[in-house]
Amino acid sequence: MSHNTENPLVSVHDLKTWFQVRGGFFSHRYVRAVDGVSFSIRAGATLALVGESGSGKTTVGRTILKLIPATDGRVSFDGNDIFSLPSSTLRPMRRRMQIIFQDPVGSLNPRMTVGNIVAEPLKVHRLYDTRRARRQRVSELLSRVGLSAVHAKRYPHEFSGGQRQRIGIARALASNPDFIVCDEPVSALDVSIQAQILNLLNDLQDEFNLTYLFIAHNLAVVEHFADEVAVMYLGRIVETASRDDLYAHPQHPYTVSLFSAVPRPEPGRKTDRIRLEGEVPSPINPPTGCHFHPRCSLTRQKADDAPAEKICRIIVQNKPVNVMRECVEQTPELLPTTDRPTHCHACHLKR
Amino acid sequence: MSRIQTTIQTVEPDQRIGRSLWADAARRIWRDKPAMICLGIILFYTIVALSVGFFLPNWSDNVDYENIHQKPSAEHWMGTDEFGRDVVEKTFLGAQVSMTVGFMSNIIAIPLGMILGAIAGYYGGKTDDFIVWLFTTLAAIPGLIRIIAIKFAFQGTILFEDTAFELDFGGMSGVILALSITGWIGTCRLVRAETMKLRELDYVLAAKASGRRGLPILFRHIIPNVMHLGIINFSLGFVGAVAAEVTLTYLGLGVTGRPSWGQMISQANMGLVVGRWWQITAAGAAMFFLVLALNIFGDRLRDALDPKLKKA
Repeated sequence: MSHNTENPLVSVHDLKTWFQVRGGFFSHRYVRAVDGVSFSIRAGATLALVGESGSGKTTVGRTILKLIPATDGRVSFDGNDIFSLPSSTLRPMRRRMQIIFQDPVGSLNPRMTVGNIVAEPLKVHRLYDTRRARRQRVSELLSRVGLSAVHAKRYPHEFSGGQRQRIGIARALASNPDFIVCDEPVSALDVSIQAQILNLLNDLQDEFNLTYLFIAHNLAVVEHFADEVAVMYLGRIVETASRDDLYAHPQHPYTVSLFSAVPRPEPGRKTDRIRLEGEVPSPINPPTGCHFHPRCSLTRQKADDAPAEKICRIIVQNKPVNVMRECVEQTPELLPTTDRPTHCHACHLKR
Repeated sequence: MSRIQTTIQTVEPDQRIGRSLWADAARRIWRDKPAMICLGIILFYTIVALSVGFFLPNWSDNVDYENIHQKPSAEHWMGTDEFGRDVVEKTFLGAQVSMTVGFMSNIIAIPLGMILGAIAGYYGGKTDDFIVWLFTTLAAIPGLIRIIAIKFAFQGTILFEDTAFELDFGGMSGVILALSITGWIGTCRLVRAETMKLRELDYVLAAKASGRRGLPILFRHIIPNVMHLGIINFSLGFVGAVAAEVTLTYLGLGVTGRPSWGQMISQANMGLVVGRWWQITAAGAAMFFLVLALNIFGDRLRDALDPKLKKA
């Protein structure tokens, strides 16, 4: 499944995260937030995970760090199986894996000084184990992310959003990690600040040879930032490829419609947007087969000239629609395309 | 990877030290006149309670059978009681009991409620079920009956053998115990709900991602962020404790063997019929001002500590 197996730092295999919801009195149902996701990231690279709200991107990031218990699957980090490690062995591993959050307000404890916030990973892992060394390290980190050492004595509410995000980055860097999950680190910021934070993340990656799992929904940001991209829809990955490949030749109809929705600032340009019908289905009760089939325009086109035994009639928004039978009945696998082995997609009709 | 062109942001190295949310709240309270007046009144009661023992060490022996049930006069501003003792002095001594009960019962109940609430809210599952079961069971019994029941359950003196230590639950300690055992419920409920909210916040997840264990997260990240609830409940619980002590003593279940407001009100019960109004007035007024000051202060404190609440 993973196309780039040379030296992966993080590899995720068939990860499932289901949340139990109470259906009725006795029945339990599950929200399949993440439903069989596999990918790998080689050391020093950036994998961007894109998809619309509710597609399970954030859950993937948090499950990999074992902040949310996984239902099934394997995550290996530098050869260690994260989920089977006892917590005493996992704790030292946590030094090497960190996370940057989307919300710069909620991610910093309002009762702690910035110095204490940034020093927390140092205290937990007994790094720089004297007060003076810690203070030295904190001012080093703060100046590295573009703040100043005097800010260590301030509290989070005294900073702007962009500055708070820098504090969050300093905390993530404190323990010298190898791998950072960036959970939409710039979505809550102004565009001008977004660029600064992205540049900072870029520089830090070069400087410390960091590996990023970059979760985003802004395709322009991803195009700038990622080496490889994985597109998620309703808990599954529908397409993975290198950035250039994906942006030049999107394969899966969902990816195609996602790219067509990116606004291009060209006056007079003819719009060729693909409008998706309907809503994102509920992950409690996802569509059978390919999750995307009720909204897919490709399967409708193909169904128009397909023989009757290959067609299936479904109801979308109270209207009958013809789609291809295999899209409804078979779950597509994420497989490489014939001409480019690094480009994988999960669409029956593009084979 | 290309770099996006951005303007360079210079951060002015301002040497100012940051002001914490606590300092902010203290400043708000300091500027709030009614709150400061109420705090003054509470401090006055505290000073009276702490010092009255030194000024009137043997007050109970000041029996003067010549002057029983005297009306207020220049000599006795609020008259005398059934043993001819001064009622103003008696009221001051009563403050000792009320303040002790109010302070002690809350200093036990509030931390208990905060810790249990934080544990229940943070860990969830069976732990949560047990703590919720505990406080809902207690809360199902009507307030005063609950306190009276516990007071009755701990009658008499408990002697610890081989030590000189003894606990007399008959008098004030019994009242404090009864109020502590029931007083943590409200705090626990609030703190539990708030903790369940905080538990999902990113800074708690960040601590978890750093490898912090449960208890350090609880004490470093959760408790400091629910501390304001504890402080507010302390001042409001104080009111409840003062009132409950008076009620218990009035019913004859409270503090015995020393002057208290409850006793004064209880004794005046009979006297009121024949026009002896001064004891009940003195005790009532003393209680009124204390309760009023505590209530207003508690309210202002809540506004100062939790500005979000004010906007709502």
